[in-house]
Amino acid sequence: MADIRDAVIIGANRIPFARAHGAYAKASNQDMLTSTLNGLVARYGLQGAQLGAVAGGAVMKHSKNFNLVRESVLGTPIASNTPAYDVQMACATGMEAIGSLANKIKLGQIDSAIGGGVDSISDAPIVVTDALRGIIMEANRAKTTGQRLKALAKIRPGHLAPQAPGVNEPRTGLSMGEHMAITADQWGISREEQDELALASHKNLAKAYDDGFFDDLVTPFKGVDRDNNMRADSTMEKLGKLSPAFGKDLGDQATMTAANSTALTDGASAVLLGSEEWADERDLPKLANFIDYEEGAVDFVDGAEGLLMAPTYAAARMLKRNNLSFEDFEYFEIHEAFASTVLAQMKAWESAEFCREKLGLDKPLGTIDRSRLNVNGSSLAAGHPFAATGGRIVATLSKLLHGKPGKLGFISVCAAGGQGITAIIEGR
Amino acid sequence: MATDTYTEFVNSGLGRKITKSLGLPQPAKLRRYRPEAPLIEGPVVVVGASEVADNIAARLLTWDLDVRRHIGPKEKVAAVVAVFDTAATPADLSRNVLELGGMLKQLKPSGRVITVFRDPESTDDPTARAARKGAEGMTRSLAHEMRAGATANGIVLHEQLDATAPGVAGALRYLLSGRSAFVSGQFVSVNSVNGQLPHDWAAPLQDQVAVVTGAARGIGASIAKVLRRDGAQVILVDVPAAGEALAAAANEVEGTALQLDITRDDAAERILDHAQQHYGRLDIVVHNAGITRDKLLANMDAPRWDSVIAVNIESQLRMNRTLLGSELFSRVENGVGPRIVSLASTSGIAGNRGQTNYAASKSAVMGMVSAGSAQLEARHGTINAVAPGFIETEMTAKMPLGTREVARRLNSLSQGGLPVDVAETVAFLASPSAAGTSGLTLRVCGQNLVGA
Amino acid sequence: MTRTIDLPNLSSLYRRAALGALKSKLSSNGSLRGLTVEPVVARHPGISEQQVEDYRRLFAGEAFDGAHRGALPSVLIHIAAFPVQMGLMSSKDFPLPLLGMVHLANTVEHHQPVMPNTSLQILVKAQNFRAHRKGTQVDITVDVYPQGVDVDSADQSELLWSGVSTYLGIGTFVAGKPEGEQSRRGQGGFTPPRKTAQWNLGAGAGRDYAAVSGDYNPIHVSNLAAKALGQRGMIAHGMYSAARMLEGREPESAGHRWSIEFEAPVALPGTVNFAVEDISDGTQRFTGWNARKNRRHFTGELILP
Repeated sequence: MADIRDAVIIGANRIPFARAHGAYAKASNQDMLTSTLNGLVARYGLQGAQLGAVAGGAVMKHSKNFNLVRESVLGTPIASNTPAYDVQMACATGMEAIGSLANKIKLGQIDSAIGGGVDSISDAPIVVTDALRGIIMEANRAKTTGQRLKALAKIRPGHLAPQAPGVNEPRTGLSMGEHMAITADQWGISREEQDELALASHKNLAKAYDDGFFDDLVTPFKGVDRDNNMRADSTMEKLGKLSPAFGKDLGDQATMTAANSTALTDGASAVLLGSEEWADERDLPKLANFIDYEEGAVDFVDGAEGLLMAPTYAAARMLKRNNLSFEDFEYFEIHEAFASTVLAQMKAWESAEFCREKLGLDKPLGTIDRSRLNVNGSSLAAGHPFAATGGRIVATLSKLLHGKPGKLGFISVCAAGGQGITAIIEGR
Repeated sequence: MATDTYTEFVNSGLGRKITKSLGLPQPAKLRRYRPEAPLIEGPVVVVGASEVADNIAARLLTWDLDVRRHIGPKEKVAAVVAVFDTAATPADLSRNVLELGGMLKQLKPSGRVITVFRDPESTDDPTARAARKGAEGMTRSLAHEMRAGATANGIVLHEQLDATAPGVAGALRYLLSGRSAFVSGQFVSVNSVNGQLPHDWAAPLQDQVAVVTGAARGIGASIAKVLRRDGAQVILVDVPAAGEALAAAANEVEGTALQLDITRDDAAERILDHAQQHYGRLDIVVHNAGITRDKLLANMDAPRWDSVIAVNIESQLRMNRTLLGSELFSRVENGVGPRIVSLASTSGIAGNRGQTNYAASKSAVMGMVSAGSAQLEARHGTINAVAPGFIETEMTAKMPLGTREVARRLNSLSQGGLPVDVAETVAFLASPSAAGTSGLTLRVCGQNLVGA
Repeated sequence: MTRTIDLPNLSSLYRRAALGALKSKLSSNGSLRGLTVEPVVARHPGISEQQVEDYRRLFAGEAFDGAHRGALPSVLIHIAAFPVQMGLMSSKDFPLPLLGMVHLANTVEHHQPVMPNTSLQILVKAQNFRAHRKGTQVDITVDVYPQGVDVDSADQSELLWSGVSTYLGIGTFVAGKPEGEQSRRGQGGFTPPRKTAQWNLGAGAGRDYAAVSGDYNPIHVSNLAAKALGQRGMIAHGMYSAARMLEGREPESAGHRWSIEFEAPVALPGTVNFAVEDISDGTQRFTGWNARKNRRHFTGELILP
């Protein structure tokens, strides 16, 4: 890949993530993404700049937001001749946006880009029933008032119940937590290790905030200046008192609680990327290079593989392609959809059987050094506004690697639909 | 921001009649600076016969002003520059003072009186110093007599300084212009030949890079705006918690936002890193960030006292040490070095009940500035302070109505100033044309009755 | 002899059945061995595209496999044949009362693909009346042939689809009492497999299936009627579970076999835990159960060709 130029991660911005139906209850996806972009523009002086592209998306999206990213860009001082488009790959939306933009930069198609994502549980679209929608569409098609009234007369009280947005996997009817509970049980992940991971996430995130690590990564929004899901004072005792939230039908074997599962949150993130030349021209910092990324997907529908295990497969292919092993990485960022997601992925990579049977490897991928894992906290503490998580992770990892030229960082993000993305970032 | 409804009312036809007949204060609509507007409209009369007066008249002519030595009894006068540099004894003041006095009734609204005299402190001769102090006292009192938004201020020339020094031109222009709208009864001292006049007076900060702390809102945001308008590129600093407003302020002035708690040990390093990365230079530092934690001293607790001292002065001292130790902030270009402008307060001059901590910190700023000028001089730089009086801000909007109304009217201009008035003075002191002025605390208070 | 009938109308059959329920066709202790009921055959004009679409919407939602296949899912063929089954069971010579009949199991061999709008001949027989602890069990066999075939002499190779539905007429002992010890079906010690899906069924699930299948059996659509028929409330159609279990798993080229055996009915609204297990290559086992009560609703099997 000698002819391909570097895709440089210049910087990032996000708004603090806020627990659903709280501080951002009245903010729309567009409000949050616009504010995030405005913060990024302000940090890097991008007022009036024409960028190669802005890409991102939201998992929970209103139909009126069909052009969410473009509309958001138009609300910022970024030049209006900057193209923008929506991307969607469930919880991996942000990673997919950033990864594909990095590729365009590498290929020389564009010189600069912003990738990111946003999600709001609080402002999620509520949809009418199919039956009511059918009647309304029929009335809409009607040519006479009589026809219209006839169509509308079919409306029954039952039609009026709103349909909450689907958070369950469409093909299994299981929530993500229920899926993860099955995988956690299969891998024998204990309650204690999950609680420990959750606790570390809160402590690490809180310390990073106190150290000012996020001073140039986060811009407050609506009076929130830190992720408000964060509980710096959490303890194993407090976590141990919670009763299981998922996998309750496992009885005593249920291990997943509200604390070792990510809370529903609202938020947005954005990452600024560019070619080396573009960054230099505008006197912008160069935190890290976006080296490579890999998408993965598994057959989870009939339980052949765990819903959130796709990154294990993607990682194997990505590492092989780059001739790397886990020992080559300085930091690991594994998205904490649930504590057990991180633990199950790591156990899978440690398992000779799994690596042989499922990943087709001679030997296990190996053990990830816990002291290098999610060192500045992850989704359990920060929260996980689905499409915004990729940007949060790329930002944190890039800053960690800045000033460590050549040191590598590994990213794993699982996603609904049995998908996932892994990525490699190199410090500079 | 608080709305000064009274000033609006007075400036309406009916309002003027009513308030005049009731003998109420007559706050005028002040002439404020607009880059595209003429410096001042109407005749500018130079009073006094001396080389300094001749030099000043010559300078004013280069600005295409209608410069006169005398004026007819019916003519309106835009400004009078009264030069007293040759006054050797108080009795010598008489001629020029009376000539000046004869023209005051012809002075236009928002007119200007500028007195020019030698620095009293730079002579040990009692008679000479008495004469110079006399000019000062006359100016200060005259300021109280000014009407319709007109002001009276002085330029204090250092003993050896010739009036052709760039600093004199800079000060004259500042005092004649709308930049000094809310400045009255004040003195701009020019003590060195340093300074560089701009190619374009509409962009006196062209190519300059400035950092403003506390820039998210209020006076700080206004300073950033004025610096930008004057041509500077601006780094806006505020605490991370104020980041949303900071980003908006930065985007408005096409600057860059730096979220930073200035009390951090590495605050100055972070500012230098940011300036180096994004601009490759740093010319101006405006220490605007400040907090109040009011309490009578009898009820004062450590957090209130210590936080005010830490934010308002200790952080500035610490940052200045690092900034002045850096190469980035030590560059001299066209004979002009780094410039620091710090925000003091009239509370620090006159004191204010309930503000022992705040007044201590602001007095401390003035101390830092007066002592710091020697340090900066070695780098051809300057350090000055601006002490705002009653300014219409979010903070003063929270004052009780009665207190606010009294505070507003208790000055020679009978109104509160605007954040932009403070910003204009900061921008002036930060400009290369003001490089001859250092160690000064300049009040932007409409000559508030409280204090000196 | 096979009697040819018109495709019966289900709702009128249910109305008649409701009246018929008032008088038992035979005394409860009657014991006629070797009961014979005359088979019936009916023509079906073919399953409409609209019905396929309705079925797809019900089971597959937006973009399931059903949208892309031409051949019909086998439960839809069962739906087509169901009125004929009902016609037979409501005929005068059928010895068990229609209403309150319990569907115990279904076995289907789907020999050949069937396309929409293809006219069919549906041959239905009642066979193998046998004693059950609670009444009388009977197998209703359904053979589906294309048009133009003489169903009485047709070759097995001409058969498109055949199914056996096993019903239980509760409280009607036309085949005597079962001999020896026949215990209740053992639910004790049921260890559920690892679930792979969860069905969240709303109160309208029965009405929704009825709208697609035409089977408005009151036990599925009305709490009151269901209570009158001895249930605690509405229950899901058995074939709803079969359809859902098979959704997306049937080969379009057919040749597969499947079966389902019903145990505890699925109360509506309700949640069914569902598991798919691969038994061997080409054979899958399905289990549906109630996690809270630890009771099995059904087990099923699919054997691919």
